[in-house]
Amino acid sequence: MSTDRPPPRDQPDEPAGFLERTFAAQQAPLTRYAARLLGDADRARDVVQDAFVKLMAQPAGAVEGHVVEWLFTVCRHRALDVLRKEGRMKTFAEGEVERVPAAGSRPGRELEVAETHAAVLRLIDRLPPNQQEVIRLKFQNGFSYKEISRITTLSVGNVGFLIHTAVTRLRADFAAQQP
Amino acid sequence: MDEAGCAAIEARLRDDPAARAAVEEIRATAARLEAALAAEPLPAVAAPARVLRPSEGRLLRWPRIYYLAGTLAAACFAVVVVVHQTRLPEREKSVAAPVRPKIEANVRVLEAKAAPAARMTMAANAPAAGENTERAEDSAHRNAVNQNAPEAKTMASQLAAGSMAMASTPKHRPMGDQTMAFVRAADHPRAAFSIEVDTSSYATVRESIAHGKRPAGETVRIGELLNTFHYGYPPPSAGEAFAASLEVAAAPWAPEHRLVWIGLNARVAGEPGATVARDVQLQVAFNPAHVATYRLIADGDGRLSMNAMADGRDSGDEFTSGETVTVLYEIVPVRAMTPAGEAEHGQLLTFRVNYREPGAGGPQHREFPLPDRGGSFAAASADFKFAAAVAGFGMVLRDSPFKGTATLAKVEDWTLPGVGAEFGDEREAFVALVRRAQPLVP
Repeated sequence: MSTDRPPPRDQPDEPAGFLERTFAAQQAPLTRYAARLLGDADRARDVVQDAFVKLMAQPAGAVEGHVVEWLFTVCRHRALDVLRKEGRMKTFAEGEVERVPAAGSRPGRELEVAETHAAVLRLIDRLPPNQQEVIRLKFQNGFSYKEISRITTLSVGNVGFLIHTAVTRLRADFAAQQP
Repeated sequence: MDEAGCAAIEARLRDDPAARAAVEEIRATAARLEAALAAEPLPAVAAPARVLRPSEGRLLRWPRIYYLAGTLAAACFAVVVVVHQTRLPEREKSVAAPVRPKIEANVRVLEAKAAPAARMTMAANAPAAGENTERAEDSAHRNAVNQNAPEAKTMASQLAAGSMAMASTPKHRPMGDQTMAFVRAADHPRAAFSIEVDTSSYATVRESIAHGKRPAGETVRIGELLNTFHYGYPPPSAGEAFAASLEVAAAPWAPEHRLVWIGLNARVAGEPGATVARDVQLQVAFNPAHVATYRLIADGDGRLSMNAMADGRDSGDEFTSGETVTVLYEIVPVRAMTPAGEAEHGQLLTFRVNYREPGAGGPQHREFPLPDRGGSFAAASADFKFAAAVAGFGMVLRDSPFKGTATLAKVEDWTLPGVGAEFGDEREAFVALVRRAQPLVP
C-alpha cells in the first residue's frame, strides 16, 4: 500500500455571498416559524422580509457567528409586535400551560406500528403554544437551550422545563397510540 | 454540565439499565420529533426579487439607507439570475482530481476488531444483477462565512457592490448550526449519502483560531473537517473501481456508543480526473437487531433526509481517479457494553455502493457487511483515532449536545497515535491547531 502524503493545501479565500446564502437558506424556515406564531402565512412573510431588511442594515460582522439566532429573534419580536397591535397577543407566565380545547376524541389505537410523521406533528400541534415554540426551535431549527433562551427571553431553566414537559407529554401521547 | 457531571452520569448509565433505557427512550423521542419536524413542509416563499417589495396594502416606512439598499438590490435582481456555483478548493493530491463533496453521510459504521488494530478492508463482492440505483439526496455546497470580507459599512452595501448573485432555485441545505440527530434504526433502517464532500470549513476554523477567536458554530462543519485529511486507504483490488475501508470501535467521548467509519477510495486511473465510476450511490442498511439509533457526525451540514429512497434515477455523482470520501457515524447499540467492555454486537450494517462503469456500463453494486466484535477505542487503528479526534474537535467547538466527555485536551490525546512523519505535516498542523484552540474554549 502506498499513499502519497501531499503537502497541506492552501485554501483560497472564501467567496462572498453570505447574505444571499443566508436568505436562501433561512427564508423558508423563518417563515414557517413566524407563521406558527402569527397563525398567518402572509403576515409571516412580511415579518421575515422585515427581518432581512434589518439584517442588511447591520454592520458587517455584527451578527457574525449567530446570524440564524439573530434572525429568529428579530422575527419573533416583530411577530409579537404584530400580535400586540392586532390585539391577539397572549402572554404566558413562565411554566404556565394554556388550556387547549380538545380537537376531538383522543386518537385511538388505529395507528400503525410504524409511526407516521403526520401523527407526530398532530401530537405536537396539541401542545400549548409556548411548548410548541420551544419544541420547534429545539428540534426543528436546532437551537441550543441558551439560544432559545435568548430568542424567547425565557430563562434557560424555563426553556428546559418547557421542553421537558412537552417531551414527557409527547412520549406519553405517542405511547398511548401504539397498539 | 462540567466534565465531572458528565462522567458521573455516564457512570450511572453504565451501571443502571433502567436509567439507560430511560435515556434511550428520551433520545428516541427526540429523534422521532426531529424526523417529523424535518419532514414538515416548508411554506412557499417569495422569489428573491420580491423580497424588498412592500406587501399588498401596507405602506412601509423606509429609512433612507433602505431606499438606497432597495434600489441597488432591485437593480442587481433585475440581472439574469444564475445559479451560484461555489468554487471549491482543489485537493492537493498526487493523482487526484478536484473533490466536489457534499457531506451527506447519514450512516457511518466502523468496526474495530478487539485484536490489534487492523482495519477491515473490504474486497468487492461478486456483482449482483443490475438493480435500480438509488439517488442520494443532494446536499449543499456551502462556503464558510468569509471572515476576510471586503470592507463594507453594512451588508446592504455589500449587496449593492454587486458581489452577490442570488441563486434562482437554491438547492443547498440550510446553513446554521444544525446538529445531526440520532435516528431510530427500527424506523429508518436505510440511509443514503452522496460521494461528494466539501472541505472548506477547515480553512475558516483555522483562520478564526489563528486570530484568537473561537470559530462560530455554524462555520464548524464536522464532515468537512473529517474529509480535509488523508487516510491510509489501501488501493482497490485489481480490476475494481474502488475499495471500502470500514472500522468500528467504542466512541471515545461516549464509550457505550459505537463509532463507525466508512471510507471509500477510488483506484488511480491513468490520468488525474479520470472517472472510474459514475452514478455512484452510497447506502447503508442498519440492522435494527443491533442498532438502536444512529447519528451522522456531520454537524453543520444541514439536516438530511433519513429516507433518501430510490427513485430509479441515476445520481450523476462521479468517482474520479484517486478520490476518497470518509464518513463517521455514531451508533447507540441495542445491547450496551458489558462492564468488561467486550460484547459482541453482531452485524451492525451493510454498506452498499451502486455505480456504473464509465461509458455505457450497466448498473453494478458492491456490498460490504460490517460485524461488530466489540473492540475498544484503544484497539482501534491510528487513522480511526485521528478521525475520531477531528470529529471530537468539531463537536467541542460547536458545543454539540452529543460531545459527551470530549474536551480539546482529550482530542489532542486522541490524535497522537495518528500523528508522525509518516502521516505528513497536515496532521501535525491539526494538533497545533487543537492546542491553540484550547484557551478559546472554556
